[in-house]
Amino acid sequence: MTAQAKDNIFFFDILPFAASLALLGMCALALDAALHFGNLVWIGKLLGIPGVLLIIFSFGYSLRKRKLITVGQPVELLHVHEIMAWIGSLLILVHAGIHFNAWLAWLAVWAMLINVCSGLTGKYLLQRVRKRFSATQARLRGELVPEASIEAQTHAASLALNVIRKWHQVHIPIASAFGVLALTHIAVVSWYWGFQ
Amino acid sequence: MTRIWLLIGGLLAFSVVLTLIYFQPNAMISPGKLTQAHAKLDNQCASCHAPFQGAVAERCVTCHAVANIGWAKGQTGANPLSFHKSLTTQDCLTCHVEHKGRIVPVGDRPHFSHALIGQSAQANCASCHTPPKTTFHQGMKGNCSSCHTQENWKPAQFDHSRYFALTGPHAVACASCHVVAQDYRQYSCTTCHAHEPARLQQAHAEEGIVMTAKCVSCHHGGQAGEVGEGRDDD
Repeated sequence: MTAQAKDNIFFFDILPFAASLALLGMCALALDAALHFGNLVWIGKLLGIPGVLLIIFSFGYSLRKRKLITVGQPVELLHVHEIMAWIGSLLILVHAGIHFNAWLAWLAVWAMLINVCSGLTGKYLLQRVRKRFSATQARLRGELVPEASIEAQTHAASLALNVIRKWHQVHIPIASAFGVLALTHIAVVSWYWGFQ
Repeated sequence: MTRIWLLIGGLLAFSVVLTLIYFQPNAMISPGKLTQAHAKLDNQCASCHAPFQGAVAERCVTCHAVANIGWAKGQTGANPLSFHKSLTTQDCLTCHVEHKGRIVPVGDRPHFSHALIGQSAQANCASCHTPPKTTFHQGMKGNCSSCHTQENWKPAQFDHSRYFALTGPHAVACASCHVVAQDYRQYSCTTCHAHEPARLQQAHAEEGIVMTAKCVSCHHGGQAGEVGEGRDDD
């Protein structure tokens, strides 16, 4: 692998991935600090509700992809899914705050963070493999290599792309675990907490 | 295929939750330890919490009869916390917090609002607050609220001009005149160069005034020409 290619991986894959996560953490810390500074911690407690609603609405993409709904384009909905899930996760992080709460709440927060990592990993891995696959195809076509030969030469890359496309098989059980933990947390809090 | 993964993830998480709730119910659900006084209720959530209502006052008063709050078991006599009987609404959590550890950190303690108790109880400060034993406070006859607010004991708004105007050259530090600490009824005007005893004696004698140590009885405003007791021709 050339030095240029290494640079590309760092700047176009690892850096945006790390930056997305770091931005999420920094925004959560800044919002939490602002609420503490303004003596508005009670708002943080309520931010869990819009956070969960945003995450639930972000599942529109999964429903559209499985044809359970017909509204919108999957590509656009994927973009909406990413934005809503990111903002929803931010609100949940502020809601959790930097305190040690009950284990159940912490498990739900960690499942959410692992879910965010898994989503971003899938996104950047898929982008990376797709880019390489298309670049190799374009290069071979430029060299006037016959289609059959292009197919043979890009077979390995094509397989890799198919494997990465199945990243959702990693992402979905994590999302499911997060869903169960979050719902249990919501059920327990509703049972014990007064909403007056 | 996706549904199988969905089920696997969900079931796995659910079994973890159930196992942990079974073995560590308190740590799993409780957001923090109860105060030392309630420590024995750590695992008895329903002692205070009613479903979908949170911790309700009705459950607090099953142990803490309002009329007896402030008394230890079997104790009688003056009750310093008898104001609980005057609360306009019974909402214990307005003042009492839980799940913040055995000792609630100072920053997490809610601020008591006097608005929670009835007007008559608000006017009777001494039913809860013991008047300070300083000579200054012992000599006070007015209502505490003429100097202190219901928000904080300090700073107090004592109106010194009711006794002596602190204007002009008299706007000085308390200790300049009140030389005996903690006894603000005592004061001395002669600590100041302008009021040397010999000069004062002479100036007052010229006016036929018998000098006393109670300068303020004549000079409320701190001015030379004020009229009061002590003149020979009175």
